[in-house]
Amino acid sequence: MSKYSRKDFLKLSGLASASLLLPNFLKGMGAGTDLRMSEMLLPVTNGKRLVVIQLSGGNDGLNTVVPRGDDLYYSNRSGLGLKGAELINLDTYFSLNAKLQGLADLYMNGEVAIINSVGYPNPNRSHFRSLDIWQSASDADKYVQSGWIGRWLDSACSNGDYKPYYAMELDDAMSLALKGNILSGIAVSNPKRMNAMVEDPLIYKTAKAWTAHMDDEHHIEYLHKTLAQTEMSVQAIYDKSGRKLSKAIYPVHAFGKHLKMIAELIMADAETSVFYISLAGFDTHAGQKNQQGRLLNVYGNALRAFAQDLKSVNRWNDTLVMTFSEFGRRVKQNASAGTDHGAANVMLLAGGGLKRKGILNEAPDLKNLVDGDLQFKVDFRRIYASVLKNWLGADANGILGGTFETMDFV
Amino acid sequence: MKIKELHHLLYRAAFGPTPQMVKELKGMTREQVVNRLFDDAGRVQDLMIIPKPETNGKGEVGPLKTIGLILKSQKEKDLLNLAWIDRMTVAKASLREKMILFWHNHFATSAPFGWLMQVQHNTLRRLALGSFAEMLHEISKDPAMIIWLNNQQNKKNAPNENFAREVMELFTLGEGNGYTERDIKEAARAFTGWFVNQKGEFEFNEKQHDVDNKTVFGNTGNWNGNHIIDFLLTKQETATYLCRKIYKTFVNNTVDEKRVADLASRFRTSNYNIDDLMRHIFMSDWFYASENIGAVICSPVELIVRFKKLVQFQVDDKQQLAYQDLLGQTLFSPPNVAGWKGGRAWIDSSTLLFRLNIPTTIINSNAIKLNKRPAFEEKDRGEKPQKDQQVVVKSDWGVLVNYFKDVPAEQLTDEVIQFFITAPATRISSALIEQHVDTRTPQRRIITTIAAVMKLPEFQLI
Repeated sequence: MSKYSRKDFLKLSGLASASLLLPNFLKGMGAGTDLRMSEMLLPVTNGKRLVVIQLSGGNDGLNTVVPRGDDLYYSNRSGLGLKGAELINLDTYFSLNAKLQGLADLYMNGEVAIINSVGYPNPNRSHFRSLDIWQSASDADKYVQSGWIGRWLDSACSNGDYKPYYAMELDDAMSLALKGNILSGIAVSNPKRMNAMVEDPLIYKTAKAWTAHMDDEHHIEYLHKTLAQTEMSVQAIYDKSGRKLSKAIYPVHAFGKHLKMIAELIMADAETSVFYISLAGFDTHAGQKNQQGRLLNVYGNALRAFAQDLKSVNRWNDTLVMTFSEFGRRVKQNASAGTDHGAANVMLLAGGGLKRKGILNEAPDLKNLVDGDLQFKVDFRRIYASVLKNWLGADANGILGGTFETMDFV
Repeated sequence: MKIKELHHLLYRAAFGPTPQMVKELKGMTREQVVNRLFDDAGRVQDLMIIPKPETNGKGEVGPLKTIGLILKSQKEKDLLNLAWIDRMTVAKASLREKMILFWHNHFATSAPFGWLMQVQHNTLRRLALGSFAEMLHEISKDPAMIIWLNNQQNKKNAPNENFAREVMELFTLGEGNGYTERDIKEAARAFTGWFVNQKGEFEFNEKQHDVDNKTVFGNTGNWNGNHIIDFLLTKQETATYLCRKIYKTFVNNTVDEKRVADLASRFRTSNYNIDDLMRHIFMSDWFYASENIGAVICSPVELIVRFKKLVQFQVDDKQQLAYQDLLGQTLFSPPNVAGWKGGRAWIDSSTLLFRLNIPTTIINSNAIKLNKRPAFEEKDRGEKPQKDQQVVVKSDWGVLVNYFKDVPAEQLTDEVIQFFITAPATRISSALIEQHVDTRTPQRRIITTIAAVMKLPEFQLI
């Protein structure tokens, strides 16, 4: 049941009239009303949005983007190697797993970039620890208690314009990635349920009673302020969700539901710049083909639906979807028709605003392995740095605590 | 001691005031109360919930790294977790339990072997108020720690620096404080061959131990791991780092470096006597200074235990594990070896709202069924989006109702606030609380007043 139409919403929110007040040079920028609006809505990122997809469990990159042209691929994977109808060919060398038809469609449209052999020095093969490294963007021998998106909030909102939902995870609990040193994002799985919590009369009134106080030193002020921001965020998210704006068909799966929720929030002009979402179950030590295939199918189809929704409101060009997993898997298959924990892996980028498309670097080197695993060629923090600097317009070095050479896909 | 000071002490040295404790300790001197808490903490009883895995004729449990063991281990760690929560709830030795919680966060370990985690837990349990020097020596030979920080891979010809690095960076000196990269490299060589054998016990493997000279902190010799630990214990930085952490946890999330320095010199001089340090803190006048009262954000586990102790809060095991997960602190699964950051890091929009909502679920006797995030090893369950399901929340308000039953209605709100909240009441409005109280019966009035106070952000401060 849609509470408002999009037109009603524009009237209600006052944005339609606000856009009339825009200076003329902005109006003349060419991309039309939507660009102007998104710039206004997302002041901290200049209208750009990032969606991070975490494939938990260690997705097998070699059976995602398949180096069909490398004989070593087939000699290492006599049963697990994909061939024939199990593949969608991208070029003379690479194919996609055929379960990724959704992603392949976007690829053919020039809306996907693939980066091979992404990782970090001294790779850790524990799910837990490696994910910690990816989320904190730390070196493998450092333990950092904040996440890279959280630190992006610290940096981007340092002028005081901060709302927790500028970075939102679609889950009940928030990952380390969204926890900064000072500021944090918000985790929302079910806006209605969260809204019911803030509508508890005493909690609601306590939140509303908060007024800015110069002294933020005491925990009391911090807690009350956090509650006030939470109440405001939950109301805002609840207000912009459930309007049934989506026209696309998403897979019947929690991941599909959450990606659809992101699409609808974007379609309702939510002020969120960074979304974070996970798809779990990629730890395929046994019977990999079915399990991974099913998940990749959900992933690809959900992504295609997402792109379709965003295109319908001209938002696909200013949205970037970045997909990673905590590690890739061993090149040689194991005895249970599965693969064990590995190291370097493929990363996928999708969006209408990619400057470079297709396969961006050399194929994974299946010959020079370390402990049976692919060696990394691209540090994952180079990709973070590129996204932070070139896409979100942020201080990448400050956020990542070091200098990482950027790439030019955005 | 003053009643406010008693409540403050009980929040820090135990899991907060309960009617029974307050009745018993009210009117005693500070020294009497502190002695009582330490006497109660004196009793040590191992937590024994996980049976040792089956062994072969040689007492061996077989290769430690198999998926089967790891999967089973998650279930075992859950059992251990729940058993510990129960112990915290019922044990008289509250101070010992709080100290174990502190040490579990300090030597933050999450090795994928339930019974080895239990062994480590019982070591911390035994030494929680003993000698930190002894604890550090034992932990460096602890099987779960050796596996967790890869000392099992630390061999003569291929040293693994993980343990050597973290013992300096996180367990003693503090990051970048009083050691060099060279010290780490050389110390790692001293720990080579410190392994866990097939019986799941510490074993010194001489063949894998590097017997050449090592230079650590400027001392050259054929050092082994024991020497390195002793070197670390001679360094003042170790005492300072430990005392700063103790201060943050037990005194104030904001550190007073002068006090930390005083504590550190005492700790060092006493050869790291934890009992002496904690007694000294709880006996000091400055511990009761207004700026230190209500100045700590309660950890998720403490919050859960408080509800359990106060109103016999009970949900099924799955739900309880999900609470820990969603609030950000699952016992035996710290985020990494640096442990939980604590303080304001406990609080974000999601966790705060979740915390404030707990009293409502208790009053309503039901909550929405929560799901712990799936373990990495778990298969995708074809997760169809599900409708919200309800689970039962059990509670018993009898003790609290009885405690407040003689308080005149017009004083009830203030008395309840004074009982539960030690932080300044600057932002608390009694009138607002009273608007949300059910006054139909005296009993409902007491219960709903307490629940309302538990929903205040100040209830999160101890």
